[in-house]
Amino acid sequence: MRILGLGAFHRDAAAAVVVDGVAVAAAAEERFSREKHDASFPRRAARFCLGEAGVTARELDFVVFAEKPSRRFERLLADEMTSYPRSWKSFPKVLFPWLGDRLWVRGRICDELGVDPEKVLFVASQRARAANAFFGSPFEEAAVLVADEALEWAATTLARGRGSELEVLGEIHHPHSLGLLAATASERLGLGGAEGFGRLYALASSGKPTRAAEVAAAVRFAEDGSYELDVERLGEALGPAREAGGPLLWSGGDRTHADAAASAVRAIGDVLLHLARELHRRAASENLCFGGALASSAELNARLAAEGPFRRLFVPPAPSDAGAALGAALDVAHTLGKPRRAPLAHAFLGQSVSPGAPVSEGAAREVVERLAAALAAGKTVGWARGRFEWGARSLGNRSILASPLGKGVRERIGATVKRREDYLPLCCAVPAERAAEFFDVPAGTEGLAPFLHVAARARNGSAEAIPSVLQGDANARPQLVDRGTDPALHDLLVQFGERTGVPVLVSTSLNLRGDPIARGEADATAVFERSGLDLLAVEGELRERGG
Amino acid sequence: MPLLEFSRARAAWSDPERKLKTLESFARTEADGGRDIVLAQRIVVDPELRGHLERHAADELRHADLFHRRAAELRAQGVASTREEVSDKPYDLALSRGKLAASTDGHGFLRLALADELGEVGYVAMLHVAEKRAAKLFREHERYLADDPETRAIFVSILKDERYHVAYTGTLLQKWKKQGRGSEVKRALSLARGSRFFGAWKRLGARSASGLSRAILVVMYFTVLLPFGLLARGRKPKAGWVEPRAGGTVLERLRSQYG
Repeated sequence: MRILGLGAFHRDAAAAVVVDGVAVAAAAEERFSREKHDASFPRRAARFCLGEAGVTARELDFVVFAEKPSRRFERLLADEMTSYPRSWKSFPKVLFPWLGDRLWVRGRICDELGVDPEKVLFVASQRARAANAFFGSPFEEAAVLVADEALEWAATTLARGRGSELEVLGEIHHPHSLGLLAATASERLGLGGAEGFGRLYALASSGKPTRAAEVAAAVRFAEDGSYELDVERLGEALGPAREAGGPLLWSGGDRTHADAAASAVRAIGDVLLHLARELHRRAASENLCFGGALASSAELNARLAAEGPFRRLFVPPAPSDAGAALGAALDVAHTLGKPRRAPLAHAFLGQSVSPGAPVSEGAAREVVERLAAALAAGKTVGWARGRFEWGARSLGNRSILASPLGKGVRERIGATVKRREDYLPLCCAVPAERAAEFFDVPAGTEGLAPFLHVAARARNGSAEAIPSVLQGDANARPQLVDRGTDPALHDLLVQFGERTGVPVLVSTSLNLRGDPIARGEADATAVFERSGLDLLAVEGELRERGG
Repeated sequence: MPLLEFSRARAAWSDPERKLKTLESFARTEADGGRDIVLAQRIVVDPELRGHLERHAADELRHADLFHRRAAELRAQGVASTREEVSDKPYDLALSRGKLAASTDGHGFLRLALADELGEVGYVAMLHVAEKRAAKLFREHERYLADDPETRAIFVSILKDERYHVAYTGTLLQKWKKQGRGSEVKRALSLARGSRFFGAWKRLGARSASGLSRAILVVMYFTVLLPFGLLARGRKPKAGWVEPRAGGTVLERLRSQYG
């Protein structure tokens, strides 16, 4: 059974193709349109996915859209009516795109792809996120938690997965939403729309939850395991909104904004734990699959693993909007086709950097050797190879790498390569078998670490060795690299370790601030030209600055 | 320069938030242009053109960088876009510019205008017309930046490059004319101007229709929806667990846009 999953019209439009229950290709539209968080209809991503799967649109069994558009329209309309007549300005803005386009998405899909309307299916967005989390996981059975902003009504979903079955147990509806809580905090702190969540979590690690009590007062925990959110009270609880043009206060003596972020993130964590306990009571499993925008926080995941009732935790590479496209396809594949479960072994589901140009083993080995030498000499390198990653994180195939040794690495990458704020974290890569020497990776999160979804504390002694990858209270986001999954990156880490004694590399995405991560050779070259990278490796070819 | 573009240039710098958006949008446009030209310079045959394109691509990417850096400075000063109105954006991108949205570049040209599809003459003609227009626009933007010397300096620097881009593309077109390819050059220039005009015409039509539709929606809001609004006003949203919806066969549920 060949299924194309599509997600659009919120953030991160994406497409994915699933053949007999196996994810064959998946990509976000932004990689092709070069517009960060592109939410438009993912026609370019769909074209790529179909090409990669070797399927024409007419050969598809189903096309699945990861949302129930009429339900979302109903929710938006109800929202507007609740604040009548103050909503008169927002009403035409909100309704216009729906009446003109989105309500007729079935027709749009048929027009774009030339498929029969009978083949177009719809999966609710939260169910699609749940399916993405469960069917990609290594678990045969698991409890599933989804927490995100509401698209239709549901903002939180509890579910149970077993084999090819996914059963939704309960939902909490908008506006009682953890996504809304995070969005409100991000908005008040002026952290930007779509990128706000990541910035909020990062900012939180530089602050202390000094307003936790006030924020907690805006959340009411119910005895039935649900929660209520008082958004108006929440705004006040976070303190005064940051003014446009005002500085972001996150370091030095005044950390007002970092403290507000930490307070919001603390409250989100408290609610997640409350939900996890309720889910554990209902689903009685040792495994938790976590999806939705909140699942992209490595810090929240670490807290859920450490303090929650589940023994093992899994978060898919793209847990939110983009991932819903894959989740919707997987859900239909399992509901209608009942294939054997095929856990996601890796996240390399995107387009190859140089399609049709295989690299010889010798050339690949030479690239690794030269990169290791350059990195040991303190150079910053870009590495583009193979298929790009599914999700918002670079895992070595479209990455900027640097030595973590010594001070000033973070500042150098922030100022000359990525051009971003200092409070944003730098991830790192470490061979899986040596991770324990440097980090205390929370137990039960082995499935998350390859996708950079969990924060780990630096072990005693390693904080001095690799200060540039640590944030706040000696926390890091390590990617555990398994030799079987990614031998080239594993070799690079080992060789770098042989030269320096520390097999850890700073690893961040190959892009500049505000741009999507590089897709192909042209994007990688553009990053190289515009940044302070010393070296760029594209498959078997190396380019040196000034060379 | 049409009056509309004058006022758009003025509006673009009227407050810090718009300034940030404008800078980031210019950065994207220049980066896109740079990437396209990087690809083009690899496939053109004429060595003189390839040399020019190489420099042109580097210029565009540098411009993107300048805009990026300035935007980053503004962000570091705490200027931030208010929450993105994503509800609006996809529609504009996907429909108001029609199917051209996927195939137009930053200057409003059809993306078909790539070197391999247009040929060298067509591609240079397209660049020539686009760069002339960009130079005009940038000159206009620069006029409104007297109170922001840092951003103005970026435009001054970019305008120098734009003059070079217009000059080399013009020289190449002249050279080809002299080589007896006059009609080919003329046709390419007409096509380039036409594709820009066609794109602008479609966008104008879509924007007018969009304005009218929004006005109608406001009228509906205060008439048809008035009783519903009064009934729903201030209603407390339901809290607690909600059971999942059920009913119908699996396939019926999957086919429904609602249930």
